[in-house]
Amino acid sequence: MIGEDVDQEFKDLFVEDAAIRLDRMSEQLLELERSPGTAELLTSLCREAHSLKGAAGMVGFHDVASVAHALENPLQEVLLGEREVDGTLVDALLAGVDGLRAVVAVSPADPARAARSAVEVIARLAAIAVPKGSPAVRPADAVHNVPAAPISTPRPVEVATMQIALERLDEIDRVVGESAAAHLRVGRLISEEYDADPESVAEYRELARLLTALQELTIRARMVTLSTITPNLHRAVRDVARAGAKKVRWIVDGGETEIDRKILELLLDPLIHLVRNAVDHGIEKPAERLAAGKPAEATVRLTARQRGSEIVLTVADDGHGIDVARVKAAAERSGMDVSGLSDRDVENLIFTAHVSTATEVTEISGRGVGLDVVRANIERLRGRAEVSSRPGQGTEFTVTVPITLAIVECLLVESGGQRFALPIASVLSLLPREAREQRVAGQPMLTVGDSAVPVSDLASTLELGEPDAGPIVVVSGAHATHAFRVQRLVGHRDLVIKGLGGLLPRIGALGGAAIEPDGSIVVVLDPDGLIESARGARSVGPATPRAPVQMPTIMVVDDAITVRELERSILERAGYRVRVATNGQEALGLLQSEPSDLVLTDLEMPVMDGIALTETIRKHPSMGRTPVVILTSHDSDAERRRGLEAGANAYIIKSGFDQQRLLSAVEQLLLGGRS
Amino acid sequence: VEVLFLQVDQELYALPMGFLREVIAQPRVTRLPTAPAPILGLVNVRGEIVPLFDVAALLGTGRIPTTAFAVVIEIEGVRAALAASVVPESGEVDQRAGEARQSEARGVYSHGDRFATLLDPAATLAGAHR
Repeated sequence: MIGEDVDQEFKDLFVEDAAIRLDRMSEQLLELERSPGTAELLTSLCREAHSLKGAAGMVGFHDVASVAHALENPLQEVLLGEREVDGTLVDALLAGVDGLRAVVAVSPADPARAARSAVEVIARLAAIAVPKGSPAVRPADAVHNVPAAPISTPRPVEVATMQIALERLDEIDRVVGESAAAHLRVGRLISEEYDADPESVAEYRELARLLTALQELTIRARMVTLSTITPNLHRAVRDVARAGAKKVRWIVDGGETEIDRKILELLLDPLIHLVRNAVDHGIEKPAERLAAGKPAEATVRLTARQRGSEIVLTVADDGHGIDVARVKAAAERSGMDVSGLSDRDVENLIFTAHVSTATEVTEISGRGVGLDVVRANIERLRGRAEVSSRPGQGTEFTVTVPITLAIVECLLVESGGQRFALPIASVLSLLPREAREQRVAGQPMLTVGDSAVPVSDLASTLELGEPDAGPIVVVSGAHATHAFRVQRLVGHRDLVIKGLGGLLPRIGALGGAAIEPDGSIVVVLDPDGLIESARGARSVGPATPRAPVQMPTIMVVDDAITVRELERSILERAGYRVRVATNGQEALGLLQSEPSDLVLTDLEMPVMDGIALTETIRKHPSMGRTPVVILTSHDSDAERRRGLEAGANAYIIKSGFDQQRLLSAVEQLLLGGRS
Repeated sequence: VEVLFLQVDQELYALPMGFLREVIAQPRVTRLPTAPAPILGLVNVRGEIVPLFDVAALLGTGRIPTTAFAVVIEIEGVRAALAASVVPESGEVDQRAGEARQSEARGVYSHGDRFATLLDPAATLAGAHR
C-alpha cells in the first residue's frame, strides 16, 4: 500500500479537497430534502462519497474511507429504490457528513481519535439501515466499542471579506521573502556552529514547511474573482450593441473563478476587444437574425473555469460565424500560402497581423488594433488565444492563461558555468549530446520529429565565452523553434519568477529571475527573446513548425485533487510530463488541442466518466491508439470487464495501488505504442 | 551633507545618506548575460532580487574591477545596489569644489584632502536605460 509513505502534502491536499466535497454534500442533501425524487442529486451524492472513499484510501486515511463507504450505502439504497428519502434519512446523512468532517479533521494528527470517531459515526449510520440488513460496515483498523467523546462538528462560516491595500500585500510578500532568507541563514548557522545537517533538525524542517505554506497563502491572497471585471465587459457589450442597433443578451458563467489580480488587469483589454469584436463583427442585425430563423436578441456569453493551473475563458456569440473564404482571401493577398490549411487553421489566421488588419475595420471594434495585438497581449501572460466558429451559428474565442504568473515550472540548465531556467512550457524536447548536427547553408541543423531545427549553443548566444557541448534543449517560441546545446541539464523546478524591475532596460533573452532554495539567484530565459538573439545577426530563416513533443506526456484524469496530484507527482518523479483534467470531457478538450502519449483515468467522474472517455478516444481518428489506463476504486469483475471492453489497456485498483505497479504498466504501454 | 563614501577603483563617490538602506559585504552576484556593462548582475537582498550597478560605468569614468561591497539604496520605493571596491564609510562632504563632468552628478566636493563626486542616484541609474 502506498498509504503509509504518502507525502504530507497529499494528506493536506486531501483534507482541503474533502472539505469542499463535504460542503457540497451538505448542500446537496438539503436540496434532496426539497426535491426527493431527483436522481441527478442522488448520483452526484454517491459520486462524492465514492470519490472521497477512493482518495482517502490512496493517502492512507482508512477510517475516512470506511465512513465514506458507510455514507454511500444508504444513498445506494435510495438509488436502487429500496428506501425513501425522508427527514430522518436526511438528518442522519447530514449528521454523517458532519461526523466525516470531524474524522477528516483529526486523521492527519491523531489517527487513534479518528478511528474512535469513525466507529461512532458508522454506528449511527448503521442505526438507520433498512431492516433487511445491509452488509455490516466497520472501519478498517478501528478500535471497537470505544465510547468516544462527542465529536465537535464545526460548520463552515460564510466567507467574510475585507479590503486590503495592495501595498500591504506587497509588504507581506517582502516579509515572507525575508523570512525565507532568514530561514536559510539559520540553516547555515546550524551546519556551521553545530556541525549538523539542518534537514535533520525537526524544528528546522517544520519552519521550512510553515514558510512554504505562508508563501502559498500570500500568493492566494492576490487572487480576485473574474466578476471584478465583468461589469466593464458588460458595459462594452451594451455600448457596441446600441451603436450598431443590435439586441444582445450578456451572460457570465463562472464569474466566481479566481485569478491573479495582475493577470486579470492585463486581461481586461484583450477581453474588451474580444467582446466588442463579437458584438460588432459576429452578431447580425435583428432583421437579419429573424430572416435566418434566429431570435432577434443575440447572446454573448463569457465563461471561465479553472483547468489545472490554468484558467480557460471563452467569449462565444451566436452570430454568423467567421467567413472562412474571406479570411483566406485576405491571407492570400498578404502573400500567405493557405493551401492545405483546414478551416480551423484558416480561422485562426485572423490573429495574424496582415489578416486581421486587412479584414474590415469598423470604427467601433477595429480602432486600428487587430486581433494580432490581442493574441500578443495574451501570449505575454504566457497564455494562448484560439478561435473556432460554425457558419451561421456563432464564433467562440478561447483564451487560456495561467492562474498566477508567480509560479512557473522550469527546466534548469547550466551554460557557461551559470544556471539558467527555461519555462517548461516552451521546452519541446531534450536530446542527448550525441545528437547529430548537419550544416545546412552554414547553419547547424538537427532533426526534431519531421522538421529540421537550427541549433546554437547557449553559452555563445548569451555571450558567456566557451561554447557549450552538452545535451540539447529544443525550445519552442511563439513563432519559431530553435535548439540549444547547453553544458548540462540540472533538473525541474517550480520557480517563483520575479521581473527584473523597472531600473533595468529590457534585455532581450532574459525574462526574469528567481531565488533558489539556497539563496542563489537563477536567471530565467525568455524563449522568444532567446531565439531572437540566437538568430539575431544571421539571416532570419523561415519559422519552423511546431514539432511533436518527444518526452512522453501523460494525461491524468480524476475529479479528486488528491488522487490527481498524487499520480502527477509519481509520474513526474519518473520523468514524464503530466497534464491533468478533472473529468472526461475536459481531458478530451485538452487532448484535441495537443495529444498525450498515454491517458490515466478514473472511472467515476462528473460530466463524462472514464468509460465514455475511453470509448471516445478509441473512436477518435487520430488518437484512437493512445493507451488508456483505468485507475479506480471499483474492484468488481463487471466493472473491470466494462473498462476493458470500452478499450482500456490496463485496469489498476486504487486500494491495491502501488507506485511500481503504475509505473511499470505505464512504461510497458508506452514502449508498446512506440514499437 | 551627510553621505556614504563609495570608492570604485581609485575614484571616490558620495551618496546622500537618505538613499542608503544597507551595505552587504562580499555579495554573491548573479551575472546577467548580454546586459550592458554598467549592469553587473543581481544580488539577493533578504529575499528580494536587486540589480547591482557599476557607478563608474554609468558615469563613463571606468569599470569596477571586482565588487567587494554592495551598497543597497532605495529610490521612490525601488531598491538597487551600487558596487564598491572598499568598505564604504559615512562622513560629510564640506566644500563644493566644482562642477562634475557628468550632468547626472550633483558636483564635485572636497573631503579632507580628497575629492568626491556627489551622486544623484535617480539620474545616474536612469543611465542604465541608454
